Amino acid sequence: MSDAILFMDESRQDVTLVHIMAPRLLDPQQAETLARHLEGLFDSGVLCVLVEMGSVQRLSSIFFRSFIMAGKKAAEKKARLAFCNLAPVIREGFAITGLTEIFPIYKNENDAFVKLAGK
Amino acid sequence: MNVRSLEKEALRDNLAELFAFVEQSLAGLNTPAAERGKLMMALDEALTNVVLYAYPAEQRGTVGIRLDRKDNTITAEVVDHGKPFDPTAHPAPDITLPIEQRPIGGLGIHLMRNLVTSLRYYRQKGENHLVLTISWEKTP
Repeated sequence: MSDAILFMDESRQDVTLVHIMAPRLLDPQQAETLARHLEGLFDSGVLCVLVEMGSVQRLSSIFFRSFIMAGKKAAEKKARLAFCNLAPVIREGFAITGLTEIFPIYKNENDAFVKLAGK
Repeated sequence: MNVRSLEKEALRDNLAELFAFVEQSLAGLNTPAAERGKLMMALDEALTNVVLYAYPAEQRGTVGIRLDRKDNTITAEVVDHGKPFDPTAHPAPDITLPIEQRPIGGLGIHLMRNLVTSLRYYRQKGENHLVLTISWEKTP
């Protein structure tokens, strides 16, 4: 559906920061790609992943499935998965689906690193 | 004109055009940003469900979307003539389960139901009709 770059990884301190680059996350194929990428990070031994979504304006519910899949992998590996910079409607989607009770959600990257680095 | 509509073949390749149509139409109908975001997320789910699940693989079909603004309410109707499916009868998932016990799917309809003001389904003449409305307060 889109040729745009979907995400870009960055390692900072002990956290792997996954910047979601696409403004619209709507394509079921993209959802599968993202789920596999996040699962792959945990499989490779990464213990903390922060998904930064500041560029994302629109998100299909199929991506919540990706986040649950990644969350299950994180739990299995005793790792952590967190999110930051969510647009208000996406934050509401996380709340409606109960994902705010499962994943730490931070206002921005700085807030996230302060909290995650201290653990 | 306060009514916009589009009908396409229910193909994955047409989803991008359908999503863009919804976004442009809601902007054209002067929908406030918060309600626009919620209704887009709900309609993304409804349209994706039709494209992925309404028709058997060997059967071609259509998906129609109609958006109508009256006062401070947008009514969106998604129509297909695939197999009968009533999302309003779908049981709500248990969203309190820990991650290890969470089913992977089943959140989309729950999300759709909770993002809009009302969600109604009816079947007529072999067609599924899903009607979503979203309303907002009049600004003084």
